[in-house]
Amino acid sequence: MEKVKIAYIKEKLKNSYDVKYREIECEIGIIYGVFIDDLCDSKFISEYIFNPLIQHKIATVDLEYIKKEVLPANSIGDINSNDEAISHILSGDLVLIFSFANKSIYCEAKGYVRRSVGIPVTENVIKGPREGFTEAFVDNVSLIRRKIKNPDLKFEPIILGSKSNTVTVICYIEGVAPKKLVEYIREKVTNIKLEFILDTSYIEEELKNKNTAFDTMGSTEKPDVVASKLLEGKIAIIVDGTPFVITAPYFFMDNFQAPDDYYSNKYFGSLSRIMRVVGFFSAILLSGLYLAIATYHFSIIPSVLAIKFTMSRADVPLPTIIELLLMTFFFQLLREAGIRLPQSIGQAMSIVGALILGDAVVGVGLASQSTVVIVALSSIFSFLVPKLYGPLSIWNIIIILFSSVLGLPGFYIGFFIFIAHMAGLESCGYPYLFPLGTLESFKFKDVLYRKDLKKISNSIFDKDDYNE
Amino acid sequence: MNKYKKILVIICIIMSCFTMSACFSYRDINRLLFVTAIIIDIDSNGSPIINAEAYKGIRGATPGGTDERILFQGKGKTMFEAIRNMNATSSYKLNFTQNKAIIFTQKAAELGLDNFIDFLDRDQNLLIRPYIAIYLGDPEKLIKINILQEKYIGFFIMHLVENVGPSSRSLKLSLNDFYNQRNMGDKTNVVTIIDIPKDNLEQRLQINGGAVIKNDKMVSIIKTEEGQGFNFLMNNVSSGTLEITNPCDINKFITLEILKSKTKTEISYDDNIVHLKKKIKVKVDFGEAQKEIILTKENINKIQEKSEENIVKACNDLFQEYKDKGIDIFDITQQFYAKYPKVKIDNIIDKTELKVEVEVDIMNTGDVNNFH
Repeated sequence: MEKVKIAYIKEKLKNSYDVKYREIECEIGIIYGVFIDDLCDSKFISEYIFNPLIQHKIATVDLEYIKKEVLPANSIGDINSNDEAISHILSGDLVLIFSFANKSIYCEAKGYVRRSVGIPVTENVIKGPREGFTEAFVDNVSLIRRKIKNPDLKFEPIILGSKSNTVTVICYIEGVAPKKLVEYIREKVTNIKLEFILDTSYIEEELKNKNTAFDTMGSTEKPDVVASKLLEGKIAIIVDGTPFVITAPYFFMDNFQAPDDYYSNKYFGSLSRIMRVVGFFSAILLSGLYLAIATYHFSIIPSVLAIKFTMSRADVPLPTIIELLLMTFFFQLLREAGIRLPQSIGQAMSIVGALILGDAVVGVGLASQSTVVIVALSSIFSFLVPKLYGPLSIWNIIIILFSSVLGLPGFYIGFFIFIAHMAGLESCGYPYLFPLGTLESFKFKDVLYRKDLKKISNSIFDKDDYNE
Repeated sequence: MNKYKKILVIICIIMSCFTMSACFSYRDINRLLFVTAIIIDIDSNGSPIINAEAYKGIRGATPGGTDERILFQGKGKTMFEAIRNMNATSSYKLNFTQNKAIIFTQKAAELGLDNFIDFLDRDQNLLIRPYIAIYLGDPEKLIKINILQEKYIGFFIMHLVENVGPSSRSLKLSLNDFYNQRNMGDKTNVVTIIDIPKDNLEQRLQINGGAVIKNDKMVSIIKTEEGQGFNFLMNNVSSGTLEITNPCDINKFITLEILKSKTKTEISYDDNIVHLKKKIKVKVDFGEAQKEIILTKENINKIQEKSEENIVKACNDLFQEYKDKGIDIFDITQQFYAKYPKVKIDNIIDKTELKVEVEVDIMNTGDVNNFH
């Protein structure tokens, strides 16, 4: 065991105004207290640590006596090295260094400013729990613990980031999560070599598939969602400093599951889910299909619609493909602007957008009404699955390009490539399209529609996974 | 997949874009003129004269725009040449994928449809979906007709043919059915006849019987009145009306509305005679009575018997007429050879005896709820 030296700590933590040093004189030497003012509860330290030390007039080198009889703090531990002492100080603990003893100890005295548990902005629900994670990982752990009161629920801490020393916690239920999955995640997370971790995305990038727009790692702000995933046998990764928690593995069909599905009427929940699936595929395919039909396959357009298309495109100088890409680009611009702007300006932006997209563009003859309708419909569909917005936008353009060069055959080729791409993805070693395509263990009851909760409330993994 | 394979796949995809495009190349919908009807006539030398109507979108006062009907005429020694000549007078390429009607004049039909239909069948731009019709009058009058109900005669004919249900006397035939019929059995077709009714309040078109086409030449006409018998024999009736004399007053009529009709055909060959049995089951509703009717069981039986008698007569009369002419418009040849492929008989209809069994079922006599 290395004796902790106050000089070393002072050198390491110099030029930091918030690091406080307190010296307590006692009969046999000096006790140094080191802590960071902003991370600790000063009142707690004064009342339950410094006060008893002063009152007891320490006259013994027996630290066990001090820990057991003098300090009433709830969490006290030994420190084995200088670096460990610094780590504790930076984590919001008080470190006590005794000039008369070889050992040092730390007392937990965290007391920094935390955001209270609020409603998650990105995942609104009509019915169901409304609490969301906060930036403090200890709060997030407690939120999960409150949902699953099970001794098998494990939280394994791992410190990541050579410079940020961020606490990352792997969370799973022993016996429910497959062992090989836990080991896979543990190994991957432990081997992350980054200088700092500010958000879950730093870990996601290391774990997920490369070269794809699809997220093969889940991310949620809701403790109930994490709890349900843990009970399914999946693993959660909590990172200190972000209200988002990673869930892994994450499958394609998970994008279509919303918490509401399980808290509301199952028939309506199933209908909503089917609408989301239809919405996703419509958003990806509609523009390409329109382009293929309106520029190659006029024979399959109903006559009345063909006349309308012709009328609305009369005198539009741009080819349909350019018109379609231009309108899609306008929409992306509006969306991007709408997200970054404050809500009050956002409304004005929507009006300008609606006027530009809906009226002025058609008025000046840059686009036809039919194209505006297709792009608008495609955009509305895309809002049904916000989690898939990224891949949806990219693949929509790819399929438009395929359709523009080959018509419907191009559209089909684009669609097959899209499906093949998804089928080739993996999440933590599991196929991304699971359970689709895994015929032997096809668990359809919670894919396109939601069955009775008692029938779907079990692990999604095969028994074979546990035996490996 | 390694880098070189990826590049190879991308090159293949780009090459396929150019090689697979073929005749289906990118074309904006507003840079085409969509033909909705073609009228095929002939000149004194028998060369085709094509009249066509097409629509074009134009930018009007509203962003939605408006459409314009444009007429074309092309002449040539062949159909293809005539169409090419017609295209030469158009600012945009003529597209036939929205064509709804192919109309032959009587002159062209009598000369022989085989002079024209090879192009209609062979050209990729032309579909088998349109309806085929024969027009008995002046083609110029037809192409210039101004129908208030519908701007385009192609669409009007399509709707007209699809609306033949209300009349069990109308005949309809699509180009696809025409192609099939001209190669099957006796190679006889009955093609819809359209004309412009003389005594109508405004200009429009009507279906007026059917033209009998044998070996691609028009040989006879089935009048509208005879159409019902033909449709019953050919199992083409889905709705319509039956008018019979009122059992309570022989100078007045009652109308039965056809709800459903099914004709089953049985064919047998015995003693050098082909026995053709048609079992017709008709379900009707009581539609209307002139003056009055007392719906007793006896009167209902009389109505049933009379309506059955009328159908049998209509069928027998038409059959006899075409048996005398020796033209098999009833697909007897086709049905006979399907059952007896090894028996060879010349002109089967001559040796055919028709037996029609009709069963009319009055489903509902209806209630009159209010006299005022």
